[in-house]
Amino acid sequence: MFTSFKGRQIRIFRIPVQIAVLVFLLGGLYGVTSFGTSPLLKRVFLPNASCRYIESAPTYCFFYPLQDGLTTGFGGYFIDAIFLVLIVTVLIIILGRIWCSWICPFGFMQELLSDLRNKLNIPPLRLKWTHRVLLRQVKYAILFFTVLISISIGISALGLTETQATFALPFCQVCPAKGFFTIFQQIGGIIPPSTTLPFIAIFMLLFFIFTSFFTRMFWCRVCPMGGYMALFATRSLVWLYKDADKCTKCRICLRVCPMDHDKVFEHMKTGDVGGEDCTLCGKCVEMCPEDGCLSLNFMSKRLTVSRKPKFRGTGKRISIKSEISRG
Amino acid sequence: MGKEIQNNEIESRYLIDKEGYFSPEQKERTGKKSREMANNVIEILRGQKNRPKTMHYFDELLSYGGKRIDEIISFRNSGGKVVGTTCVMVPMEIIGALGAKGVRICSGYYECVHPSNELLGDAGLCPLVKSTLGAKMVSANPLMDVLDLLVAPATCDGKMKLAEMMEDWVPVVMLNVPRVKTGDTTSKLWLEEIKYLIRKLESLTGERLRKKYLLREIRKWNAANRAWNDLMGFRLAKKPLISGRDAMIIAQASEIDDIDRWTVKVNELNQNLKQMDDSGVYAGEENAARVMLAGSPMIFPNFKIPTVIEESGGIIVFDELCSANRILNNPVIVDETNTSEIIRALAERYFFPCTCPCFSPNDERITRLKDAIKNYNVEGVVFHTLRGCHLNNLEGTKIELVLRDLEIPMLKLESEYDEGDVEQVRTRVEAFVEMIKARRKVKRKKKKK
Amino acid sequence: MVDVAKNPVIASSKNLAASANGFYDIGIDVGAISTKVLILHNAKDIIGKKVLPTTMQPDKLAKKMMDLLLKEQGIKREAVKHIIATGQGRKVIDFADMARTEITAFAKGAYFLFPQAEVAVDVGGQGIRVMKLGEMGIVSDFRTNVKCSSCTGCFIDAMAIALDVGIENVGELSSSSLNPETISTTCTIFAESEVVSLVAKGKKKEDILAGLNAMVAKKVGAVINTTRTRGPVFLGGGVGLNVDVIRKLKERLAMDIYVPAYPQFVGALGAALFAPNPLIEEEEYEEYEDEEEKSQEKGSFFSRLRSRREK
Repeated sequence: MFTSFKGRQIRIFRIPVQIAVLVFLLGGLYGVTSFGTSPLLKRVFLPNASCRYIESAPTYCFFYPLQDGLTTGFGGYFIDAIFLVLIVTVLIIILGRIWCSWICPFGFMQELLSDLRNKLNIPPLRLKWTHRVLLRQVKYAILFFTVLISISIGISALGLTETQATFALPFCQVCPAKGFFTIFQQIGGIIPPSTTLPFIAIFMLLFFIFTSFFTRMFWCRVCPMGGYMALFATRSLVWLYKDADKCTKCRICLRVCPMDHDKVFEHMKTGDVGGEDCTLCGKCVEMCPEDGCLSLNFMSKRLTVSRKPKFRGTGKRISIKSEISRG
Repeated sequence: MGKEIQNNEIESRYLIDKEGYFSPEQKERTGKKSREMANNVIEILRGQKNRPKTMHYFDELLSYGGKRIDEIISFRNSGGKVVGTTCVMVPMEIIGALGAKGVRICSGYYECVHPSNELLGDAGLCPLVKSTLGAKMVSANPLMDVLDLLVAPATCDGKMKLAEMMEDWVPVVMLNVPRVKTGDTTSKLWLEEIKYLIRKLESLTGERLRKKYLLREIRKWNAANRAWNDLMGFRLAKKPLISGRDAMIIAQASEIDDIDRWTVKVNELNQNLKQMDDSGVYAGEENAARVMLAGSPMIFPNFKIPTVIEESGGIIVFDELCSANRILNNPVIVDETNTSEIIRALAERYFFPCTCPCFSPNDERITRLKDAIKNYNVEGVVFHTLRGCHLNNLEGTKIELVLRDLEIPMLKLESEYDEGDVEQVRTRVEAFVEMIKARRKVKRKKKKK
Repeated sequence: MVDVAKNPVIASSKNLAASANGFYDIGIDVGAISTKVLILHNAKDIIGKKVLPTTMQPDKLAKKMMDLLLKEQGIKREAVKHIIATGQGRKVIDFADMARTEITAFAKGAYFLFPQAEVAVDVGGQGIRVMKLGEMGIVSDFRTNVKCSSCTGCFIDAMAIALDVGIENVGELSSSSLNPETISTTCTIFAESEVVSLVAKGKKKEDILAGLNAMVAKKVGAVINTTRTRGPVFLGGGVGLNVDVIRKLKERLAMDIYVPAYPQFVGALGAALFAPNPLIEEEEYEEYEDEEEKSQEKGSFFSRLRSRREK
């Protein structure tokens, strides 16, 4: 996992959090009981921290009640959906797109795929600028169409209600999570191995694995959840701060950013350099070689700051071999 | 003298009769004077007060025809290849990873200008170019006689034509340097040039570039960068522990010496400096004026201006020169360990943060100057240009305006490879130092209000 | 246009010997062409001054001049508290207590004589020095001529010799010219031969001199313009005695120019003013004081944790 020389200070914290999420919130997989049956807890749906296709998960992904509420035509689930959308929107405004790199199991899977590619000595496929701009719009399109299709199924006047049985959750059919968790549970023996998956689910799963292996964070660029979060891309309480007086324009931040977020380099004024693409993974902060240039902030307090590489403390007898092997 | 040019091969562009152009007496005299000059400068440096003992190692390294030349010659005799560079933008890690040794051949000897003047005329050309060419023509710099290849990025006009002239003596690989860093193509262009360089070096040494060795070299140079950062920390102190000239020699020595040995010595020096700090021993004079040096490169032994500054009551706490700080200022940050990404990280490190004025617009230099002024408590900037260095001269005006906003005084000097104007320079530098010291009174009164 | 900003009082020391706290400082300016010595009383009154051409042994000459001056004014050597040297040959004066460059010394003298000046110009024997004065008369920027000494005092000297005119008459004579000649070169050596050829052609001396003075004014004006100043200019140095140059400079710059009565002594006056004044409680200003301990730029929570652990 640690393929880089400098900078492990944020990834060290991120990995346990991602693993914990994978274990606990997905629940059931390892026999962890759910959060409880109180009506309040049952309403806590965190964005893509869980999935409907997991048998005994304590919560579901945010998209499930959204689609459910809309396709059932403003029936009983609709109130839940509105309530949920409000909670999640408030959480996004507070914490920004931090879900993508700290909580989402897809993010974790993509990072592991990148590490695997690195181990096999394969260089990443870097997308051209025009393609990146195009992909950024795709996530809004998927979000829009999901909502549109859900609503049109829900409106009985349009006569699509009979598809509700088979096509109740339009997005979940193409979400790679369906295929991923189904296969995972089949392997784990939680559901019978003969459960068949529709072809589209298997195709999307393979598509996800293939693209995320060669490109860094491909799914995050097209994820509709990301699209929803990017709509509120104002400065959240946790944000990325740049002190432009210290920037040497070395472009390391742009090179290591898995999302190809240009603003972190192009913006040459002190202040917020996050945006719709930035998932607050902290990689640029780890790699920036200048003291105090980039930092992850919580309100006005600098949580972790980029540092200049120094010896481990002058005055001690240090063997040069250990310094050299330190990287 | 009608020589037939066969197959469009140009044997020599600048000198038809290379062997007989300079007499042996001329060659001997140039070599002798250069050796004297280097020894004089080293003597002056050794006369500084409270100089750590470890500095002797660096003096010895840079002296004329020292032990290092013998090491390189014996390395070459046993089949190794020696690659020369004229610029900081050439990645030394690649040279080391292929088993060759890299040395920087820019010359600071005053006497070597005269052979060039005979050939080129006494025009207002960059004296660094003239001295390097002259040193090669009369074999006055032993480092230049052991080269197998010269890598010359085409940064400024002078260096470009120097590369062309040197091709009469040494095989040269010229690299295209995109001079404007904005736009979409610059990173790709420079990366292609580095890959071309790797191909040429591979065919010179007969080896292939292996990831293992490249990573090892990168780690060595990153350790050197960390040692240098530590050393710069000692110059931050209120009473600096090491003089500016010493730091400049240390930086230059890194481009001649084996880098891991250099790192060990600098670490030793840092420990000595820490002991000095603990026991309250300092370099420089009392209440010396804190000066920053910027501008055209000053190669050892062309230390006329830093010597004058430090003898007139100033101390150089930071320098923005490509012969000192720019060599080791940035580490190579490797994110993904596959070969093409490593080469990309390397190429970008040597290109993007470089503050050479051959790039336009050079805002990175302004940021670095401002940052240094804040961190090192700089009280005045001495901006020095060599004669004919238009790039630095034009930037001098821009820097002066920026410094005027920050209320830092600046002194602009133009110099040549000549001892004749030392007294004029000394008067102006002394007046500058007096000016800085007098301003402290004003600042103190302002603070009291 | 030749205004006297503040006419220094020249009094004999016999009257002042009675005052209790009398102390004397001597300023010595060893220039390229002439050496100037000046005695200052109580850091405000000029008691005596002397100027002689510089010789090969400037220290002996300065000592002789100083002894002569002290004898003339009836001051004992012990009453002299400080001797400060300036000018090109300041390091040769071994009996001086302090040495200061002519740039700083001139600026101090200029500020003493005319505090409203924005720019102080010293047109001396071999150099043109322009100093921008900031707060409290401290120099904020200075420019000098580099590598070429044309259009300075020695230039006018050489031309005066070539034209067989006394140096003290140059200004007046050229003021009376009605039709100035144009000289085509600034180089002293080339200009000399051009002057000789002009004389041979029968041109009048005052016209040639006017052309030369115009050239000097042009060069000095160009150096002053590099400081981008609008304000009043204080001009000193030997060439300040040349009224024609001053007039032409004033026309060129369209600024107020103030020239003291004895312009070549400003450097020596400034040097004498550097002496520490026992009457005024002046703090040692040359000490370097670190600004309030620069707090390490706010480290992150983790780095502070790390450093706390290390302690």
